[in-house]
Amino acid sequence: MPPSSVQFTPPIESLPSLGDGVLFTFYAIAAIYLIFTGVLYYHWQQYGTNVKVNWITGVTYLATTLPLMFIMTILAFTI
Amino acid sequence: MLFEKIKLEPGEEVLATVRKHWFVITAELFGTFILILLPFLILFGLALFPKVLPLIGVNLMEYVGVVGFFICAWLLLSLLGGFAIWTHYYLDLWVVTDRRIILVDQVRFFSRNVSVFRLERMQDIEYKVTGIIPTLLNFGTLKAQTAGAHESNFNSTGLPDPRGLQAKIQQAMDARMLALHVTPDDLMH
Repeated sequence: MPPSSVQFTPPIESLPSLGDGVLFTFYAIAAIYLIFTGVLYYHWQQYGTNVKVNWITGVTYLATTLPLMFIMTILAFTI
Repeated sequence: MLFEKIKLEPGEEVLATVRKHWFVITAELFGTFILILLPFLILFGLALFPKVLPLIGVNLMEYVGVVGFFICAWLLLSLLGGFAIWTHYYLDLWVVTDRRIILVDQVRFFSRNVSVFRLERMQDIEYKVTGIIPTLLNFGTLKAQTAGAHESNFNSTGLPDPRGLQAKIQQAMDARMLALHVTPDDLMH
């Protein structure tokens, strides 16, 4: 009987590429970001005591996190 | 807004709104600051020793996009942590009115304790300032006990000017007792 050829390792092409890993990470982080933003908005809207502080916190949050999300989106779809 | 939710009684006056001392939030946000700096420190280290990566067969220039992506992800997650710390700090507060003390303890997201202590039932308010930094910056712990069948205590750390706050609560308690014509002995029976 001829020896059967059994392949123990998957071919290298079937493994996820680095780009796939980055894209998967991007989707996971985007989901975390969206959920966190909703939770943060809810807490400040419900329990905030000063409209001005709420506003400054919201603007600072968006001004610091949105550019990062924007850069990540571009990199995730171009790698 | 919070004060609409607390629902002050008719004629109730807010005497003070107290949050933890600024040193508390600064110390907590310092960790976030270090986390934000970390990837840049690593890159700086790699720039100082450029022969390290080629030794293990890695050319960083081939992975500029990936490295940039993961640095952005790291910064974003660190910032989210920083905003969570700020939220817990700001939404954690004491409201002292001329009738009661309302303690709002924002433990974490979706975990919030609101305790109300009536001034006429308060006893034994004590403050404690321990350590060099708390002494220099004047912040500490305020502890109080309430009288009654269901005894309960409250204990809050990192409060600014605990002596001043204790005095303010004591004055408010005395005024409340006077308004209700209650003596401290009446509360014991």
